[in-house]
Amino acid sequence: MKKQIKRLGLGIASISLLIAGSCDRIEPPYVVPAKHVACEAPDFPAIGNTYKRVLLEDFTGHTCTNCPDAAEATHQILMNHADHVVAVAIHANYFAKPLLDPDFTYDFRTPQGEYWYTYFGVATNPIGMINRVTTGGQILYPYSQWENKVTEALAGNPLVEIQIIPQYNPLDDTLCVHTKTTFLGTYSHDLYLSVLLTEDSIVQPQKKGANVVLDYVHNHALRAVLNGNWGTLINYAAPHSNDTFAIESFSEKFSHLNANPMVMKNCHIVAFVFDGETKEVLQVTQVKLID
Amino acid sequence: MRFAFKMQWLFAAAMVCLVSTKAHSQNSPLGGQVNGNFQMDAQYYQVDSAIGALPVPEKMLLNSWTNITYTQGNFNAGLRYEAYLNPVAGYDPRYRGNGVPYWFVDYKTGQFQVTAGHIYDQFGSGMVFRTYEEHNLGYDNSLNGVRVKFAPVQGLQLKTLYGVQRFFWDKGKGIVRGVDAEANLNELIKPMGTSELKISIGGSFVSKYQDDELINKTYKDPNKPTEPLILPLNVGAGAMRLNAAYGNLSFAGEYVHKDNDPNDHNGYIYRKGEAILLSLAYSKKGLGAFIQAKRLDNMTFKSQRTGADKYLDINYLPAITKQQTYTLAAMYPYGTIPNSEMGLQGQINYKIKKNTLLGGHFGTDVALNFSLVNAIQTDTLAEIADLSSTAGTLGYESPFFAIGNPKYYRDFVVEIGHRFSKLYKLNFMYMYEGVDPFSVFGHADPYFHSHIVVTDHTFKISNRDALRIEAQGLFTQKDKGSWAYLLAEYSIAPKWFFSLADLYNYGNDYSSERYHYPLAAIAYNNNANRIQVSYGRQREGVVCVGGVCRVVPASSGLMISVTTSF
Repeated sequence: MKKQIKRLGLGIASISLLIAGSCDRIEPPYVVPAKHVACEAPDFPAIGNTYKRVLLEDFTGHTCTNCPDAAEATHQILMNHADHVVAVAIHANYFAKPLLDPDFTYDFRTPQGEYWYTYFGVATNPIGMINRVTTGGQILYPYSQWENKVTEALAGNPLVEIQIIPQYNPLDDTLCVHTKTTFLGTYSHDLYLSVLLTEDSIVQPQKKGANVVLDYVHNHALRAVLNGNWGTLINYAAPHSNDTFAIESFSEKFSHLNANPMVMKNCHIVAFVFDGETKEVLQVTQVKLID
Repeated sequence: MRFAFKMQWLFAAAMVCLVSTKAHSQNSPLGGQVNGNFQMDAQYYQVDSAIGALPVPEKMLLNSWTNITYTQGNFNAGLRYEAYLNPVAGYDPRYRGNGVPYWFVDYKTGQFQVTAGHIYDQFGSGMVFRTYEEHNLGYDNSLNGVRVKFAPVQGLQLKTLYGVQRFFWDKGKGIVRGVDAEANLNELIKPMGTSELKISIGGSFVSKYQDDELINKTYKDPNKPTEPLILPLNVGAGAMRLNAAYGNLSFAGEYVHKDNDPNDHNGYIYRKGEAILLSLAYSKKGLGAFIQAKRLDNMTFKSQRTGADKYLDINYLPAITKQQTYTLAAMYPYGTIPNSEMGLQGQINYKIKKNTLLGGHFGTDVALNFSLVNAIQTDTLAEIADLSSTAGTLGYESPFFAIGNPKYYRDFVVEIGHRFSKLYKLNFMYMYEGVDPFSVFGHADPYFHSHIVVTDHTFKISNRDALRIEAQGLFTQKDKGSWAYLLAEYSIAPKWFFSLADLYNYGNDYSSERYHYPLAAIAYNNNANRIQVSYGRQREGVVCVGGVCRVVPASSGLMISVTTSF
């Protein structure tokens, strides 16, 4: 009995020490360091006809047996809606973990993908978000509902238009991404811009039902986020007019963006503008990294 | 979102099985003891536009609470059912609804005590951790989690707890963890066991965790980009305390240090927080005195960084002013200002002996009390001149002993209580009060003074019957001017109570706004049961308990209050 009490007491003391160690001390300047942009922003062409585009985010993983069906649904949606939908496959958490199994050692994960997995309350795969819109408390939908949700989200005119000009300097491996967001209407919340890098045609094993497809082609895989979990503030809530815009530029060594080597010609830059309060996506644009 | 989880309703059903149908505590068939209490406050509202009592669409609003506890040996369990259908005026409308937001199970064995469910507890004075519930304020910050108490030896108590706080019918976004140790040296150290010097020391550490969110540092120059803050996800606060007593003297001191905690109550600054509370008291038969000093610097400590409003406090900062019970003395109450406050309070109580010239036949009680409260001095940092807010900076410098502006509050109170005969007792009070309405209430008015005089007469009519008359006056030339208050209470012990009161704003600058606020009440007591019915007007005001305040809107109508315990 005395031993048990001693052990329980030690347990409490250990928990107490853990609690006592639980604090984060932030040193000045208390802000996320601004990235130095190595290249000057170019002149952006005038925006032409604008139309609404929708962001489809698919939480997936290489050991998720049903995820290829969701990927197929994504493919069908992209076929149905041409340039009106931008897909991003977020490999995160349990089903994306590299394993000791030699077929699944590849690491598709990104820090921002992991963060969004937790933040948006993902518990199963495959599951997705369409424009990060919450309806009746629900933001995550099974792939059987994605087509309907995409159709709903495409209604209406866009409040912003986004243009992207990527530049790559092979001499020093610097990638610069310049974005111009033009405000087309009034909006009452702060708006933020997120810039992502995705990659198509990654050939790596994938579980599919009871099988493993060794030469599975992974598309739209999220490989990097250039400006953190919650992007960059581009405009305070205020009435906007057509001549209001925000230009943001980001630069990074291309090879530093992801620990896995990437094939540049298979990469896209995805930029989306979202409501800082509700997190809902207002508009999204995608361009190839290099033509 | 209600606490309508299956587990709680199963628990409630289990509790109901243990409760007898009769409304008094009794043994359950399983051998335990069941206790409880019930309170209901209902009000029927009349429109009374003259005093600003607005229409209430429901006509009648109701708050009720039912507590049931079951005890058997070392096992204890309880729950509280609450119904706000809809919450009475002045209560936060987010309480609307009903359910079981509080339940717990507790087991004590030997040196251990474990509690799971909703926890109310306090470390030391509460300045680093206190969870509590106060009906009058509509405040409940209970911690839904687990607590373990461990007393390894006589004189030493360890406590550890963690959980999430109640936020109306939901929970706050942060997780709170805490550990506390208290040692009674007289019990721990054998030679001190017989010492006249009594000492206990304590130490606590509390931390909270909340997910990251997007808060920016912003510049006045629109061409300068905003910068997202690196927010501490874990924020810790530590405290040390000492209590000592020797003969007639006692001392209590507590110091709290809080780490960087940018939140929407401090403008997202990274300045550390600090609180100190010192009390020295002297007490002997017929004479008591105490003096207390307090300083608070950036001590808002909530489990949610943004959107917590007045709720989700992890800590409790005691008031350094005396809580007044007389109506006019409580008209401008002071509530603690957690981020910038330094104050002093002192009191002397003296009983003039009986059978002396001033003491008379029965003796005379004299009490003097004073409070002085100011802001701390804050010297804004130069870098903030370029920013559109203080977010992402240390905010200010504050020399520890420098007294800042504004002057928040002053009061000086003299109370004399004298029994003239077996049939008549008088309590007289004079109070000087100075208050800064902007700092204390948020009203954009300048600092003003008032004088309050109260005479409280109690006449014993017979062995059962007593009549009490209060006459009060508040004299000021500011705010709404002077007030008079008259109350007559007639009680027929032990069951009946009748009262008539009128509050009159005779000194209002606008003669058309010199309103009367009459109120009539009847109450019936029977053992632990009480029902009170009152009808009349209630002025808009502020209710404070222990330095925490709630605004009460003007209202008019019938009020019914029922309480019982079993």
